[in-house]
Amino acid sequence: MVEDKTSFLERLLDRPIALLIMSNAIFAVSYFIWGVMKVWTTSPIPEALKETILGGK
Amino acid sequence: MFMKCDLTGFNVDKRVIPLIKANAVAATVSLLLAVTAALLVLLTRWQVIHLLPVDWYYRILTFHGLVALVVWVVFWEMAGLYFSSTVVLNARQIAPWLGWLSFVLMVAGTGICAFTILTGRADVLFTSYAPLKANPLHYLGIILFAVGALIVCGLFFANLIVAKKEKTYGDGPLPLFTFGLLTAAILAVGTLLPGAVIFVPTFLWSLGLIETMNSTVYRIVFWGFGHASQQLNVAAMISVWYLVAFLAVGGTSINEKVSRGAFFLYLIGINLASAHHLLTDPVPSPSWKVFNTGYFMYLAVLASMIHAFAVPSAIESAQRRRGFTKGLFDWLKNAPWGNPAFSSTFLALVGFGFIGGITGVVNGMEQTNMIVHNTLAITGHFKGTVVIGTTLTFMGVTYYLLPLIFRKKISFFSLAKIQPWVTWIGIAMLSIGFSIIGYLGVPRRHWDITFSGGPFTYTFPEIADLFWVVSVLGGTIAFIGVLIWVFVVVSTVFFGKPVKSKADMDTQMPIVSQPPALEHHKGFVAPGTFVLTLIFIATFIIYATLNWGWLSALWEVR
Amino acid sequence: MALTVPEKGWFQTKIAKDEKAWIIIALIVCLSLFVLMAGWHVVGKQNASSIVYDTSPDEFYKLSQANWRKYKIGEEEGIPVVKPPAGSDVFILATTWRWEPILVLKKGAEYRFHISSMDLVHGFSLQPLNMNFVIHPQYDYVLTFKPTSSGDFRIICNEFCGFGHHTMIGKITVEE
Ligand code: HEM
Ligand SMILES: [Cu+2]
Repeated sequence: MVEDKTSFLERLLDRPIALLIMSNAIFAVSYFIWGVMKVWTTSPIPEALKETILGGK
Repeated sequence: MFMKCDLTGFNVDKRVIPLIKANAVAATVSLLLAVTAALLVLLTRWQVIHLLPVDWYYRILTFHGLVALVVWVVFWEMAGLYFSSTVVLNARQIAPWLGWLSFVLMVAGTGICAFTILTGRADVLFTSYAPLKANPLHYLGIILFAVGALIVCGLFFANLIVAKKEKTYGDGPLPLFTFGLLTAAILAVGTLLPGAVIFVPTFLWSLGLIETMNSTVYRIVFWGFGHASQQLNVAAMISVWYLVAFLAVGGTSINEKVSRGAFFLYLIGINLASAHHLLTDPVPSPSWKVFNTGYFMYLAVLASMIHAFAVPSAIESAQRRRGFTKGLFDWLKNAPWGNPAFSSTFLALVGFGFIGGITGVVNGMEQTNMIVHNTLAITGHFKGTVVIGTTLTFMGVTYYLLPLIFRKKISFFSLAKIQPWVTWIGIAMLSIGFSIIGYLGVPRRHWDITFSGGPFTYTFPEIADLFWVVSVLGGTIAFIGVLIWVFVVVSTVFFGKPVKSKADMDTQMPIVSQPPALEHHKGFVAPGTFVLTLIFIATFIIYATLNWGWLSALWEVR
Repeated sequence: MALTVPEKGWFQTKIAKDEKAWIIIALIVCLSLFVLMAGWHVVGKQNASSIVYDTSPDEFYKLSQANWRKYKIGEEEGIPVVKPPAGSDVFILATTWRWEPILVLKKGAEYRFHISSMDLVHGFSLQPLNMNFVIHPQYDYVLTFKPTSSGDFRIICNEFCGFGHHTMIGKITVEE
């Protein structure tokens, strides 16, 4: 069979839906999920810092 | 259902032609409205005239941003998606009624947004950063538009799948032009989905059904939509470059694997570049910023540089095979400059690379972004991408659309020939002017840079005044360029002589036959292009060095 | 060919010499950019900070008031003038349409700026240096600045925040 000789990339390039999923999966994970996770994991102002600001003279 | 096109030999589904026409007409109307708004905004920014009052400045600016960046470009791309997934493949259009439904949705969405903006219900600019809040209708309009466009992308995929199954375009991968637009459609899905994801909760929030919107999440998701949609413009634009190279000089990519590989790199990395809108935000973290704008984005930058070689080398190689082999640039001198589609494409390529591309890469680096974020340099940058690149390209290829789809000979052809040059010169001046003004610190989206009414005053360096003049002149020239185009297009569509035969086409917009095949030879295939790209890289390095030098002279910050 | 299926064997065609050379040059440039960006975090002196805290307008307002009270040296246009000691925390408040306080700093000293917004997103744009940062409500953006030049500086807002946006201008003075 001739088909067997086509490389993985060549076959992938001919599969629109596979490309659609691949491209958007990378985008979703690296940009959205990682980004929004970073937003969720910010921490409040440390108590010690608040005390020095509010305390003193 | 099908008819044979006597000019190209394609088997054309008759039902798709009105869809292409409708979207092209909607695009043209939006461009005209958008540039008219642009002129008002420009004459307000120039403090010498300071045309509009403060509220109308922001309203017209919102209108310009939305109608130019989203409406004009996306309508045009919808026409491109229909064309490339049916006509080019001899394929039939799946469910044309859905196409009409989405057209209605998009027109309605545009209408609603125009209404909310112009009646002062959406004074939020087109980015509408929460917690700035607009009338719920405004978000609804954007959602309708996005859903409409998403449906067209779905139709595009359906067309491709059916065409492949029915073997309408032979046995093998998609033609390069369609493959490029496939890339664009994939990126479009990635941009329209976040668009829906962010505007639906924003809509509910403005209705009062959701209590708060996190401003950071909004910006992350908004730019996943707002920037990624620009990447789809890039993919669509480059597809058109390949198309025009083929039609106007018979040029084909000197290596299909390289060109397709470059589109593949876009699929991997280009959308991540959305992160460069958040480089000076407190969150996400620097590692997120560096990774997303950095490593992966440079795959996409690499891809653009590959196209920057592949497109001109396709032209050069074809020209050389026709016998224009003298020296480095004989091929370029003897290119069909009288063909406005060709001149638009080549000018767009140069402008996009040297102005939009170089400023884009450097302004999009994590640290150097600090110098330009939200200054007019950013506006200057994207005038060099989406206007000199995408818009000029789309305007140019319309000259092929008119005889092929509308079957009309172009009226006022001599005007059509100068239009690309006028537009290019205008936008180049506007873009460079704005960039320099931005580096001097002048903010974008600002009604009065003398800060009247504020507690303090500040005067920007005087040299900025000179570049305001350059920008205003350039903007006006560009405006005239667009007017010429609209005039030619409208008079062609309504009053043009019909195209009856191939001879009618050949006198204006010939589809050039293939040059003789390349014989094997050892040296460079495209030495002229190679030299051009070396000049490009040298310019890039100089620009980057200036920016990093500037950066290192700033206050220390960490 | 842009409009037709590529010829058989397209995937095996060898890449021309000049195209290959160009791709290699472009790749090297791309990788250097990446190294530069990551490396600047190590050797460079201008990097956006990685420190940010969750806060609320109420909390941030209270902290700012306490901070200004300690170091206040006067008032100008109804805005407090604050002269914090070198190495201290400095609170800056963006409110539609005002930057507070007016700061008096010392050249060469380091200050930990805490910047947040009371309402909308604002843009912190330091002129004439042209250094720009985005300021969000609900977030305390901690940027450690070391002024390396002296004179009169302005903070202008460069993120649209309503019709008074253009009046939003603040001041920093750096003494020798
Ligand atoms: C004759 C042509 C044009 C002229 C003279 C022009 C001029 C301008 C001016 C003066 C601004 C406002 C800068 C500011 O005050 O912040 C602007 C913004 C903008 N322009 Fe254009 N423009 C033109 C065409 C276009 C086209 C064709 C597009 C898109 C395809 C476009 C996209 C944009 C966008 C996205 C903005 C930013 C809006 C914002 O900041 O909200 N422009 N343009
Ligand atoms: Cu503001």
